[in-house]
Amino acid sequence: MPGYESRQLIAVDDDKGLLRLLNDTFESEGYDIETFCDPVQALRYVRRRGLPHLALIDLQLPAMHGFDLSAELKAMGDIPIVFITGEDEPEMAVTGLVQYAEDYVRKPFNIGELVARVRRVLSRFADSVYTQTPVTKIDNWLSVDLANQRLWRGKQPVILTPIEANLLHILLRHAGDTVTTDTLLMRVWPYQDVYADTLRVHMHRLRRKIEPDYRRPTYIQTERGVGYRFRID
Amino acid sequence: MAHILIAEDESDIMLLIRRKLESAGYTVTGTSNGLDVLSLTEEERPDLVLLDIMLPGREGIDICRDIKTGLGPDAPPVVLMSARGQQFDVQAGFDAGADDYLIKPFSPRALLERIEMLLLL
Repeated sequence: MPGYESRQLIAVDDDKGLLRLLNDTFESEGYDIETFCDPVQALRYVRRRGLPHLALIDLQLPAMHGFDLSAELKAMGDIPIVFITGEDEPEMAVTGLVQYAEDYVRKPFNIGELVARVRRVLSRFADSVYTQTPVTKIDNWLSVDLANQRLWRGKQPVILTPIEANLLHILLRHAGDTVTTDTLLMRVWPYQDVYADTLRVHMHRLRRKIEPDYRRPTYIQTERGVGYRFRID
Repeated sequence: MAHILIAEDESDIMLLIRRKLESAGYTVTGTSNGLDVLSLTEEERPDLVLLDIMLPGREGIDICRDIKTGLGPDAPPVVLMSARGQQFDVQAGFDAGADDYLIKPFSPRALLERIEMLLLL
């Protein structure tokens, strides 16, 4: 598993000076960072290059609110987000922050503080070679393109819903290990009263999309009373 | 409303924070001595601990570690407060188990935001 420093970040902010600072700082810390003034360009980049390990997003983007950009990214998978918020923003929507972001900083901020916060967020997430390529070939049957919310079973393309993309992303990130039901509920439906039966229904739908025979699943295995595991050979 | 334990030895800052939190509806217990914090946390079971890094008796970083290891999954969120705001300092706070880190001077709004976010979790 690579260290945090080799992880890929994107930063989206309309302040070019700040983007330069973010680029230089995180590069000198060993991260691989791409910066964007335009959220649409950022989304295009992600769809072309695969999901980043983390996104730094300014809440007040001219073309698109930071929450909207976050929703677009979160529909592709379980991407951790850190918001950069303006000092003069009138009402901080705390509920929006906790819905989308793992953490935030308010301008003006100490760049070292931001680096420490990013490191902490990344330390909570497992890493996997399965998630950060544009198209992940699992085997001859299954290939996954999370950034475009689709996969191929055999030669047949299949569209994933945002919930299915998130479930698959989390399972792939932990491929080979069991992910508990509680973890999946907390990541996919944060701060919502969703129960294990809802998760089972979505997992059933996901299996129907990826498994050659969903009644005898080979990719996603159930660990009764614990959670689910994406099988790796 | 949530109960917050503040550990801060500078009386002016303690008063400001206490007023701000009380006017926002929180119940507050305050101490200026680092040696009291762990036992107060065990006894009073606050919903959150707001902890200055430099306290007489025991340093905030060590107290934070005591709370997190001593109370385990029952430990309340801990927010460290410090004038030291370099990457190394913030990292040390997170490594000690702090749930958040506020760099002094901070605005009352920043304080309330961070507390509100942690209590929502």
